[in-house]
Amino acid sequence: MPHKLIAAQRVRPALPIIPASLHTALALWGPRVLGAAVSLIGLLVTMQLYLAGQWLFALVALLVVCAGLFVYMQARSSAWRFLFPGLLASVLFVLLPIAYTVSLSGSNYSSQNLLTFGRATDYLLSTRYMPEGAQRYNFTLITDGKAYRAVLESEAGEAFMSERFTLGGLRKPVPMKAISGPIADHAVDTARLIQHLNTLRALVLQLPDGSTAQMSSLQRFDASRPLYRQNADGSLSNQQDGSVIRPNHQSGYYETSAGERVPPGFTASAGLRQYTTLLTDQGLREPFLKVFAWTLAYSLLTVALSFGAGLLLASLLSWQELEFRETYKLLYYLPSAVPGMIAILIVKMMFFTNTGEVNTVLDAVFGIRPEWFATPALARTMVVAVSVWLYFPYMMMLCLGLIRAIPADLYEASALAGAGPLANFIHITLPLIARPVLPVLIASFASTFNNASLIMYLTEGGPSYLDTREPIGMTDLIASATYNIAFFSGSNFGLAAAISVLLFAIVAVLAFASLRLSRSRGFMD
Amino acid sequence: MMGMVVGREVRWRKRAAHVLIWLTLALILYPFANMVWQALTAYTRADQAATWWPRFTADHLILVLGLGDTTDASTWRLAARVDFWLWMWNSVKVAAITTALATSLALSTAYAFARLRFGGRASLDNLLYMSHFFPGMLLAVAYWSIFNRIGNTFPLIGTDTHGGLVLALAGQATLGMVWAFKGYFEQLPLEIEEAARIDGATDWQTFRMIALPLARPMIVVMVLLTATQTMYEPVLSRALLNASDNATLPLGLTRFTVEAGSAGGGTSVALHEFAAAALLASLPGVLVFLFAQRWMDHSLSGAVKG
Repeated sequence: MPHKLIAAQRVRPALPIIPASLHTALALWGPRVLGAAVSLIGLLVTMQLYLAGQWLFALVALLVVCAGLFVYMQARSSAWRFLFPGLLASVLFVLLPIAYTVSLSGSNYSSQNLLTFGRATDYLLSTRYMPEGAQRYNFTLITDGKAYRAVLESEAGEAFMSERFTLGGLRKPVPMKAISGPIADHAVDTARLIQHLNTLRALVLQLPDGSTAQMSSLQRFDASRPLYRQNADGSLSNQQDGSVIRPNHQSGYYETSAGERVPPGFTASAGLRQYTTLLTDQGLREPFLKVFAWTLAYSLLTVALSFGAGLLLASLLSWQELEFRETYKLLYYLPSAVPGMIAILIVKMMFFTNTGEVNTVLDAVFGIRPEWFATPALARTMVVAVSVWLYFPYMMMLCLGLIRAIPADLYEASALAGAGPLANFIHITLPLIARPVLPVLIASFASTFNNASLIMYLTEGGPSYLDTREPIGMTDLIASATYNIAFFSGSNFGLAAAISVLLFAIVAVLAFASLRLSRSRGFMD
Repeated sequence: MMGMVVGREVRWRKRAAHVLIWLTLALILYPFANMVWQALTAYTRADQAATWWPRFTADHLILVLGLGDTTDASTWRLAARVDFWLWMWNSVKVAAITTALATSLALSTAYAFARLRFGGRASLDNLLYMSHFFPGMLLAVAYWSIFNRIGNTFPLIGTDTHGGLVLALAGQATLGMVWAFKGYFEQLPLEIEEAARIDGATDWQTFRMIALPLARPMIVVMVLLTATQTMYEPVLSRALLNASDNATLPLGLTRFTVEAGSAGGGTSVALHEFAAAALLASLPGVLVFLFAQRWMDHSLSGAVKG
């Protein structure tokens, strides 16, 4: 017993130089002050989010603060205080995004329908038009000490000068007075004007007659007016032509009575439309099924080939009498040190048609220089080859570990019975390795099935299909196709989210299978 | 016992095994050897007679490191600026913050999974296992749109910001670390912690005074490994970052394309400059890997005492 206590004391860090009383005070109040500060920040975040109209995120932030306060002040079991940070991370960074993906898949969220309804409305309400006969003014910005004044001159020769203003807080219209005579020359040059362009665009000048003017070009201001006025029923009246536009929550646009869309669009519920489009739309279903089949083939081939090669080499390296085994293992291990994406880019260079080493060899031996990136079948072969090249050292390490765990006397007994290496492999190694390796193989399959980086850095999906609506290529795997759909030209986030949700389901099934297999105990445990 | 069987057959088998191993090793190692070679040799210019010996040069390394413009007008010109130090700085910044965040969130949780009792532990354990199957790419759309929506309120974590990338990467990093630390805490000798508990130490004191110091080597290793993984994260950084000033190493390394027209057909990638950049970019990862390798072997022997 006593020696254990000594062990406990040895690892206890030396107490700091702080006096004991201060130390206890810190221990008592430190966590409380920290807790109060963190909750306060959390509440501030909540409030900011709520004020910005993001009530959903505000609710999440509030729930997090409440859960934190409950766990650290009320809950009886201290285990939850330990668990809280990690659980918080998985809820905020993984579960919440998964739920958000599901909700996005039920919307038309895309680069055309990016704004919330409120922001789209605000945008329309802030657009302006020029009424007929409206005044145009030449605009000069002059400095007045550290502040500025605006000077407008109409075509008729009237001149107005504004009150002093600073470029920081331009919220309200700045009143102007009529002036006569020359203006003191402190005009701001064009370069500085361009520098402040965005601030100046927000500047509203109020002329003595009550009309307002806003910037229309670098040196011009117009007496433009707001184009739309909001009606009580939510529709917007066009002040210029008197027409009325109404929000259509099906299409995600304001529409005229004739059904014409007025951009910008807003995010609206799409129900299950993304899923039905995916499964029924001709321009989408075909390529999607092709991508799915190719992804399946790619994953199966990669896992099978890299596992086969890994197992073969691991069996060789487990051969007790083979010389240099440790050196070989080290050499096989070495490439894992280079980050995966750099390895992909490096090996990509080797497949270039004119300069790549692969073609140099093929040219020397067979006299051919195939175009690896342009021919579909070759591009796919290359993808699988590179993938196996990347994975099989890992598989080999895995198999080495598993083979090492097989009791050596099994092989000894089999050797006494006169069995050769092949018989050993089939009757001992393979059956004993199968059980522990299966969950790992399923995990590898899941990760290859969701692989995006290989395609993003090796082929960028090419060669491309010519007849698809979405930017998908022939080597694109589902994950990289999803990336293209979400982050390329159309930015169809709703559709990408729907595909992600389908993938979630597939991955969940795989994860569950792997879990069940790994929990049923084999000899490894 | 095998002595009597050693004969011709075994010798031939050994030779076959060596040949097979050498072939696959060549296949695995060649691309990396080629990278180093390309990084250190000069372009063959059209006006120079072909020589059988290579011309070694440090020009590509100098160019990538920004120590001088060594572009030769007779070779091609790069289409984009080489901002190696900016990419490195961005990568290190993102990796450092992500790792710090993930480590501080993961440690106590991993300890609870390894040592403490609580309701629903088995199912949470299963969830933890299953969560490893969900790759970050599937969440990219959600991350992007969440950051797009709250970016107006909190510009630090908007779209195309390092803050947003950090948060997106922190989830995966935390889960990975919880898993690794859990395994490590589980195999620490239980007696020391039990002795502390018998002395009246609370869960927190046992964790803070006993388990954490014992886990220090593992923490160092995991911090380094997580940091290098985040440094070179290829997918989410590509989905979430856009501006060239924000580029991390993986994004920077794809910018070694050649200015249109200057290469005169053929390849569009500046091979030697790229190889130099790839070599330099992978150095931190390689060093950490080699260092972590040594620690992984020794970390246990130091902690466990009979």
